[in-house]
This record gives sequence, structure tokens and C-alpha cells, in this order.
Amino acid sequence: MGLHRPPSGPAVVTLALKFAQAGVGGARELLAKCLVDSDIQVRLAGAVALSAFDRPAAIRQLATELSNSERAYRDRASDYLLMLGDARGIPSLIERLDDPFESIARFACHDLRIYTQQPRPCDPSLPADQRARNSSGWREWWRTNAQTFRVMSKEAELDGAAWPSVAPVSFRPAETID
Amino acid sequence: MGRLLVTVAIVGTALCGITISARRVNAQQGTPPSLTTIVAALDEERTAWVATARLRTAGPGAVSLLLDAVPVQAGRPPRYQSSWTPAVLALAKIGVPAIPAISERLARVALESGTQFEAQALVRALGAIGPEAIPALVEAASRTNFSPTRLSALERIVELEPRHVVFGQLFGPWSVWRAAEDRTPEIQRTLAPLLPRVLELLNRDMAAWRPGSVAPERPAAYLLARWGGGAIRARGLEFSMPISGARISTRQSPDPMSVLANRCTGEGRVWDCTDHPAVPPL
Repeated sequence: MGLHRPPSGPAVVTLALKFAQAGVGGARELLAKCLVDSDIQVRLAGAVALSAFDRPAAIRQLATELSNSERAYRDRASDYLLMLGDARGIPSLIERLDDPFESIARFACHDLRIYTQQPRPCDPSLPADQRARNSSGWREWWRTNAQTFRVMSKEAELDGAAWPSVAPVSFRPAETID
Repeated sequence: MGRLLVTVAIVGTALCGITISARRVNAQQGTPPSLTTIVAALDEERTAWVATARLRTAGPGAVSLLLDAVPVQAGRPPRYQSSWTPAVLALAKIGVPAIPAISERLARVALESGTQFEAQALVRALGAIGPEAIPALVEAASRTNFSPTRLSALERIVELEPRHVVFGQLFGPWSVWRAAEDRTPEIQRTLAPLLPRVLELLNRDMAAWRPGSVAPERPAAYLLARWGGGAIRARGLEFSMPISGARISTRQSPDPMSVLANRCTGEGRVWDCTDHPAVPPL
């Protein structure tokens, strides 16, 4: 959920990252090798770790994981792409607004708002018909803006710093200004 | 008396009704809310973030309204004790165009008594904007008579550089992970010409320091050591290294001298401190 949530990963990636941060020779190459590992967890975490040194390579890897057969991994790849400032993660967040689990929809609403800075409604506690209208509004917005949209990374970082004093998603309904 | 109270109640209810009606009309007619209405929405928990998102692109008219909202929200317990108020967040999102107005307001409140919370909130907004606000932060640090405000202004500059090492605590490598994005040259370019002023502040605060008082000279020394060269850097190191244990206050965050010590001597070394005699042996 947003930039203020530190990522984590399998021990092998964590160790390689620690070595790379300490400037140990060969550690970055080890991180790069994680991207072709058979374990999806290693590939995803390895990409995030590598982004500290080679952001384009990390983004390329995460973008390929968007076509993973399992939704959970596609979602994680989307989250990481957004964290690195790549807009290809947005459609997955919009999809999650319709998730039957309120907490998933709430996180999606939070991340959509901070990365887009769009004050559009996405309250997950509303009745189903209103939620459907809201997510439909987000889809329409994305159709119109996908070509020119850039991730609001700086603003998302500010929102992360200001949380919880200012919460992007309130637990109280009616977050609109008349 | 009773009649007066009834009259006040009726008038109050009527005014309240007019306001609500006006908002409903706005909503029904699709009229965008006024800047005043949006800024007022910052005060309500459920609409505060939405208001910051709307004000982000609202232009200079919003800045003056936000600056008026800062002292109202600053220091209000318990939600806003961190100095991150909705108004501060909105100013930070407006970014560079808001710097002159914030700086101007800060120049005034930095000299007034009883405005410490407001000053710290304005400093927070400047720091959140980024390296472009460094001159305004140095100016605020120079101008203010209050050590906590000076400390806060200098710490915001220190914080602009992402922290890569944490001294004395064993955090995992993910805690200091950041995606590659190097703003170091920008910080260096903006801060370097201002370091003589930071040195003046260090010397002034060193002379005035008393046990138990806040220590704005600590981040000042850090900035000199981290970003300076030659004699200026030597002065920063001279202050930072040998006596770092003597004045450490646990309420200061970040702890620049500890970070500096670790950067010079620890495994997360990011620059070479060995050219100065004050640096203790490994």
C-alpha cells in the first residue's frame, strides 16, 4: 500500500540486496540473476531490489510479470510497477475496486488515489450498486487518460509521509466536497 | 435573556440551512466548489485528502488561503502534532510555485513569539517540496530567533537526502531500500553556495548553547561536513566527530551526527572522511 510500505522478499534476495548495498563485488549481478529464477517470489522481490541500482531493468521484468497466470502475482507486479513510477499498474488497481473483500478494495482505493491524485469516489463501504458506479467512473477516467497519464510519485510520497494525519481513504462515508 | 437565546438559535439554524442549501445547489447544478469551500474541507477528516488533491492544481489563489489555514491547524491536538496538517500537505503538493509565499509568511512568523507551531508547519511544507526550497529553509534558519525553528529548518535540509544507513540499530536491507533516483547533484548545487551562512549559524549557536537546550548546530555541522569542501567541511567534521557523544539528545530525529559517524566509519560508508584529523580511527 503506497510508498510508505517497505517491501520485503525471500532470504536469498534480502541477502543479495544487503551485499549490494554494502558494495560487495558481484552482488548486483546476483540480483540480476534473480530476475530469471524459476521462483516467482524471487523474480518479483529481485526486481524491486535491483531497482535500487537499475530501475529500467527492474521495470522491464515487472512488466513481463503482468501476464502471469495467477492474479495475486499480477497484482503484486502492478503494485511494484507503480512504486517505481510506471503507470501500467493502474488497471489492476481499478479491477481490485470491485473485489468482494473490503480490505482489498480499500487498499486499491488508497493506492489509486495517491498515485493518480484523482479525488474520484471509491469508498469500499458503499452499497454494491454505488461501488459499481464508482469503479465504472474510474474505468472511464482511465480510458480517457491512459495515453497521457504519468504516475504522481512525488505526491504519493507526500501522502505517505502525511499519513495517518491525512488519510487518502476515510473510514467515514461521503468523501466529496459539494 | 431567554428570548435572545431563542433568536440566536433561530438565526444560527437559518444561516446553517442557507450554507447547506448553497452546497446542495452547487452539487445539483454541477458548479465546482469555490476555493474557500475546498480549503474549509481540509478541516474535516473525511474530506481533507480530497481537498489536498483538488488544491494541487488550484493556482496561486489557493496558496494564500492555505497559509491562513496553517496557523489554525498547526499544533492542534491530537491529530496534527506531527506538523503534517492537511494545509501543509496541500501546500507541499502545490510545490515550487508555493515557495515564495510560504517563505514570505515564514519571514514574518519566524520573528514573532507564540508562532512556533505555525513556523514549524511552514518549515515542514518547505522541506516536503524538495531541494528547490533549500534557500528558503536556510533563510528561515537565519532569520528566526527560536532555536527549535532553526533546528527544524536545518533538519528538513538534512532529510532531503534519503537515508541509506541507520546507526546503532540493525535494520534489514529493505528498510533503507530506495529505487534509484539520485537528487544528490541538485542538493549539492543548491546548498553549496549557502554553506557559509550555515557556518555562521553553527558558530552563533555554538556560542549560545547551554546544557539541555535544543542543538540546531548539530544538523548545521552535518550539512557542512556532508556537502562542504575544504575549511567549511573541516569545521563540520571538527564539530561532529569528536564530541558527538556529548550532546546527543534522543528527541532529535534524524540524528545527523550519528549518521555522519556511521557514514565515515561504518560498513555503509558513503563518503571518505579519512582526510580530516578529527575523524577517529576505525
